[in-house]
Parts: sequence; C-alpha cells; structure tokens
Amino acid sequence: MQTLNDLFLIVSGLLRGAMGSWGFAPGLTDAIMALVSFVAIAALVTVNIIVILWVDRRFAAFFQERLGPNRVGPFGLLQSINDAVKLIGKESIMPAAVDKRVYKFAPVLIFTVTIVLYGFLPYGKGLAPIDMGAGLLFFVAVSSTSTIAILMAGWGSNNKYSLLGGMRTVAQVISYEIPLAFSMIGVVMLSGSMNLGSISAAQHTLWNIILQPIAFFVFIVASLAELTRSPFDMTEAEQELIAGYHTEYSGMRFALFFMAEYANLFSVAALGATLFLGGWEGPLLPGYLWFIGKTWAMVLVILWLRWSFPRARVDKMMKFNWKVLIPLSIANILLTGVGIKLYQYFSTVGR
Amino acid sequence: MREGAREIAVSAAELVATMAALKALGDFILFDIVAVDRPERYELTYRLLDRGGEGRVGFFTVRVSAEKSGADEPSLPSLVGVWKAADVLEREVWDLMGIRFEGRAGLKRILCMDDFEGHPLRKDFVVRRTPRFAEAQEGGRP
Amino acid sequence: MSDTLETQEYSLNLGPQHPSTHGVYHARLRLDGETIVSCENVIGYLHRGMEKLAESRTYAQFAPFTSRFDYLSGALNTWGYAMALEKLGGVAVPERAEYLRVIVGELQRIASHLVMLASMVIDLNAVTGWMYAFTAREGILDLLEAVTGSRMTINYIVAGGVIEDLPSEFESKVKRTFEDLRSRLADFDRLVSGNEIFQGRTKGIGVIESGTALEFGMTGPNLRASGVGLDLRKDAPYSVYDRIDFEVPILRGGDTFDRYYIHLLEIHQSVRIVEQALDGLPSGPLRTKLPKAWKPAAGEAFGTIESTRGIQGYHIVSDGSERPYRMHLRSPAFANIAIVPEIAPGLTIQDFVATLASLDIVLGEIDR
Repeated sequence: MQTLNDLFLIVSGLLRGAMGSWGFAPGLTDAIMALVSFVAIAALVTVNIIVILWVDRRFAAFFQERLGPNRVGPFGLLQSINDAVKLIGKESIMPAAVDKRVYKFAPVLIFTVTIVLYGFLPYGKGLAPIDMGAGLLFFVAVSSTSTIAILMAGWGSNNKYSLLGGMRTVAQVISYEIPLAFSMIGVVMLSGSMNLGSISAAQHTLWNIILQPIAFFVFIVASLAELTRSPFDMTEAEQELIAGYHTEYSGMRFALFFMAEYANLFSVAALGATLFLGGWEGPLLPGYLWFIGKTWAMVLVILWLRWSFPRARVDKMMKFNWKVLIPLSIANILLTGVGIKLYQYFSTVGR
Repeated sequence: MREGAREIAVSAAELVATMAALKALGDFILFDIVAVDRPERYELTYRLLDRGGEGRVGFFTVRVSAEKSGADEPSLPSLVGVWKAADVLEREVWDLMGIRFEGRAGLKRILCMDDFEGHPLRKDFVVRRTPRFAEAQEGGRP
Repeated sequence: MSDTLETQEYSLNLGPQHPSTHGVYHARLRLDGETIVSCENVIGYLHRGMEKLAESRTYAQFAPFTSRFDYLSGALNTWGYAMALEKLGGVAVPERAEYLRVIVGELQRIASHLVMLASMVIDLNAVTGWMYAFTAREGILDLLEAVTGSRMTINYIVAGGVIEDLPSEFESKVKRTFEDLRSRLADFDRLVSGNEIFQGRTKGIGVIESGTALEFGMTGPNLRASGVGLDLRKDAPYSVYDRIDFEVPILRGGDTFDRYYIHLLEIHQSVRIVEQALDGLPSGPLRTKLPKAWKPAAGEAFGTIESTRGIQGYHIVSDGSERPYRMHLRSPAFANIAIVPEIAPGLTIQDFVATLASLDIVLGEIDR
C-alpha cells in the first residue's frame, strides 16, 4: 500500500540514485529532474485537456438528451484528439491590421501561465513539482497574469468585439480576484500555512468545506468568474461578442486559447480540491488518486453550472462582486478569526 | 364612419389631413402601404387597421394616386409626422416603386442595395443581370 | 490634464454576419462603452425580389415561393396567400379543408414559437434550454412531415383547399407528441423562466409601451406582450376559428421577459386548438379544384392572416390574366424590426441581443 502511495517518489528516487551512480554533478541531476517534471506536467496538461473536452461534451449531451461524440474511438474518446489534429492542420490566419507581436505572443503567454500553474499543485504527499512555502500566494499571483494575455489578444486583434471582450476580462478578473483571494484567507488561517501540501495535510481529520462553507461558496463563484466560465463568460460571449478576445484567432493559435481555458478549469478545480476538499488526504487509496478524484468532482460541478445557467449581465455581475461577494468574504475572515480564538480559549480552559 | 364605407379616395393634398383626422379617432394604426404601377398613374393604397367596434377588427382603406408626369419622379406628402410606422413603409415604396415622399428626412433605399439603379417594381423596369455581376462574370472584378 | 476621463463614442457593426442577428440583419450601433447611443437598421441582405418574381408567374406557380417568406412558418404564409386568392376569385373552401388548415397552421405556429424560445435562450447562453425546445420542435416537425410531406417550406395549403388528407393513425401520433411536448415545455419552463439570471437579463429590459407599439404598427405576440389584445383569430375570425374555444394570452409588461413568456403561453393555446380541430374534423372533400390556367376577374383582394409574428397581409391585384398584376406582402416582422432604433438607445450590447431575440424576427419575411 505504502509502495503504491509513494510510487512517484520511489521512481524519482531511483532516477536520482541512478544519475548519482553514473557520476552526474548534483546540479545536472537537479536540472534533469526539473526537465522530467516539466515533461510529466506537459503530458498531464495535454491528456487532461483531451479528457476534459470529451467529458464536457458527453456531460452536456447527457443533460440535453442527446448522445454527444460517440464515433471516433470507444465512446468517442478519441474525438478530442481528432479535433486537436484538425486544429494543428488548419491555417493560422493573421489579419492584416493586427499588432503582430502582441497578437502572436498572447496565445503563447496564456498557455505558459497555464502550464506553470500545474507545477504548484500538490498531486500527493510530497508530490508538488514546485514546493514553495508561499505556494498559494504564488499560484494566485501567476494565475492573474493570464489577464494580461487576454488583454493583449483583445487589443492586438484590432477588432472592436475583441477589444470589448478584453476590456470585460480585465474588469471582471481583477474585481473577482479580491473575493477569490479573501476566500482563501480563512483556509490559510485554519491551517496556518500557505504551502499547499501543508494545507492538504491540515485537513486530515476534517475537510475545510465543513469549517468554511461560506468561503467555499465564494471560491466557487469567484473562480467561475476567474475562469470566465459560464455564467460569467461575458469575455468570450459568442452570442454578443462573437467569442470576444479570440475572435480573430484561428488554427493552432486559437487552439492554445481553447486548451488554456480547459487546462485552467482543471488547475482551479485542483486548487479548490486542495483548499476545501482535503487535497490528497484520504483513506485506503493512494493520495494522487484521491487528489484526481476530488478535482474531477470539482470539474463536474463547474461543468454542471455551465450547462444549467444563462449568462449573467456584466454590470449585474460586477455589482454582485462588490456588494455581495467581497463583504461576504471579509465577514468570513472575521468569523474565522473569532472562531479560531474561541476554539483556542475553550481548548485551554478544558485542559 | 365605421358603419359606412370601408374605403375612401383622397387627393394627395388632402392625404395628411385625412390621416391625422383618422388617427385622432384613436382606433386606427397604419398597417401597410401598397403602390401599384398603372399605365397612367401610381395607385397607392394606405391600409389602416381598425381596432375599434365591439371587438371586431377590420381594415380601412385610403386610396391616393400619384400622376406620372414625364421624367419627374412622382411625389406624395409623407405621413411620418402622423405615424412612425410610415417611415419604413414609405422607404420601401420609394425603393421599389420610386415614389418620392415630401416633407421627411432619410428617404433612402431599404431593401435594395444603396447603389442600385432603378425601381424594380415599376412595370418598365427591365429584369436583367445587374452590371455588377455581369462585369464580374466577364473577368474583371468590380 | 483634466480630472475626468475623456470617453469617445465609437460605432460597431452588429451583423450582417453575427450569431445573434437571426439571419442577416445588420444594426449600425453608436456605442459609449457598452451602452448604445443610437442604432440604425440596415436590412435587405436577403431581398430576393419576391414581389417582382410573382408578376412573372401564374398564381399557382407562385404559391411555393410564399413559404419562403417567413421560412419558420411556411404553412401560415401559404395559407395567407391562399386566402387572398380565394377572396380574389370568390372560391369556396370545403369545411374539412378548413379544419385541416387550422391543424397544420397551428402545428406550424407551435414549431415556430419553439424556435423563438430556443433562439431566445441560446442568445442568453442557456444552451440546455435551447436543446429542449429544439427536441420538442422535432416532434412537431415529424407531424407536419407526416401530413404535408415537408418539414420546413410547407406547400400544403393551396387556393381552394388542401392537397392531401391526414395520414392514418395521425390522431394517436398527435396525442403522443403533445404529451411529450407538454412535459418538455414544463421542463423548459422550470429550467429557464424561473432562473434568477434569466429573469435578471430579461425583466424590465427593452420595454415597449403599448402606445409605441401601435405607433409602429406592431402586431402579433410582441404587441400582445405589451398589453394590447389584438389577434385576428379572435377579433376577426377566419376559417373555423370561431368554432374553437381558445384564449389569447395577454401580458402587460412589454419587456423582453413578457415577449418571451407569451410564446410559451401561446404554444399551450395552439395545442388546445389542434386537439379541438381534430375532434371536430368533419368528412367531405378536400379541395375545390381550380383550373391550371386560373384567371380571376380583374380587381384586387387583401387577405390577412394571424401569422406567427403578427398579421400578415397579401395584397393581390389582378388584371384578368393568369398572372398577378401586383403582389404585395405586408410583413409583420418588417414592422416589428422598425421599432428597434426606437428602443435601442440606453441598452447595453447584451440587452440589445436579448431584446432582438425577443422580437422574434425572420429576415426572409422582412427582406422578402
């Protein structure tokens, strides 16, 4: 059991041991191991996107009494791969009037940010590729840089619809970052750490979703806005802005935006699972399986919301943020602080 | 009037005053304008929807003629000041039949493209390939 | 530098290639941020010159063209055209044919209203509601296909009657389909109408006062959602509508939500009408045959019908030959769309899209 739980650690230990015995310098070993992690993450991102896309389609089809893709491969599992190959093969059209450097760089940037985020996730005990003391803070900081990429795409496309989409994104993502960060503070206060591994470990007895239901609600809503997923997908609103910031993108450049969206879906769901559902903590099964399972539960909730709700209105959404979510998340911090002090008081009195 | 004739004919000069008086009765809305190209004149039929009269809805017709006088475009007074619905209806008549409505702004084509030549519903309009497409087919891009 | 930010108006072409313009409608917007300052309608992209085409075809030859006007309710268009011709030539229609016309016409109305509901909710990105409505429509289209042979451009109603009788076991098919339709509509209603976000997007948005609506010559569900109960089926009954018991739903708000909701209510009334018409279906001939080269006496006729989007009028002028001297369609959607520049200022792009969807335009009918 323990062997299975530490499978990846053992493999990595063996690799390091082998490189040591071949006489590699410690720096070189570290570099090679970093490369291995990177390849592993890149593979995970790619496989994840393909699976999420397939699940999204089949899940939506299930909601809407239809079949969904079921032709390519068993249960249509290879449909996403088919689409990816198709997008790679397509011409990447660049309109004449775009700001070329900005236009070309935006998809690269957004996908880079996405991959970096995967590096911070604690996939299991001791299984975080980048294990930082302030991992949570860094995660939030890095994830907000994708705003820049979207604004670059919106501005660089030289299209009014794209610009409107880009502007909406900036307003939306920056505003919703506040309640998102605030909702995490309660969790940080409870576990006394910003390290994602420690946060998972601190939920050994009780998941944070029970102690922090308000924070969980705020987190789900704010992360939907951060992800620009429905009902807060005004930034790409195909019915109003004709896909918003990526209107002018095609071929592989478009695919990068598209994949980044789904990849971000997974990483934010993983963050939610870590913060509120105990991450890799769980009995019997190896930690990484618990982690993946909980993340998928979060992903399905987000997809479920996507297929149930219409799109909200921009101004109402902003009002909701400033008038409901932010006060709520601040109240939650206050409540958590009082709760922690009370708990400490009574546990000392009881002793 | 409701019990009497459902149709009146007026001269162009009386048109606006008649319509304004009908509108003041309260139950009429401007429903449609049809122009017919007769050999010697254009006949215009203004159709009003009459919502009054004990739950029975009917139509009331006002007929006007615009004489064809040489090469000039025939013209009639505009009803835009009476009913806002007249705006698009008059533009349609102008576009397809070439009757000019006086006393209003923005009388331009509505269904045909802006650089279309002629008024297609006139009987002397020759249906043929438009020069634009003919040119494109003969090799040169327009 | 001044203290206030300078803002600049800009123009945006919404359409003719835009997913939410329901065809090739083109709105030239002036925007301040996302708020519309002014709006100009640009239509005519789908102008096919139908009225001119009619002048070079016989009366019977032109009938199939009419189902391409409002392509979502083709059967009602051909019905309106047929009624105008019958008025023109004084043709009597057998009673059974009148009942069959009511059945097909109301089925067509249900199908068209379902498209309206579906496209309305998809414009607000409620994708699942869209699928529900379209799946329900599929059942109705199957019924229409069983009777008329075609799904979209139905050419079943002709001057003098209808062309075919009902297929066998049609009544039981209708029964099954309507059961399915009712349960789907209930699902749809629960999923969409009661949704907080949906109501937030539609209630109080794009309000059209009854006075404004009448001023612009609006008719149909859009007018009835503004509180004016004008329905030719009730107020000037044609065909056999005076023998059928149904209500005309009227809502007072005049906003996007009411225009959406009235379509849902009307579907239920249409279901009632079809059921009653099937119960009261008399036996008898289907059609008064007209000669191939039918030449009505010189004169003119104006036939009107309560179509899906309002009152359609067919003005036909005959000169005694076998071709119409002039054929004119009074299109309800043409009047409904004319109101857009009036109500657009002050709306945001998002509201504009919702309002446009609620007006339920069909460009085939507007541009003719």
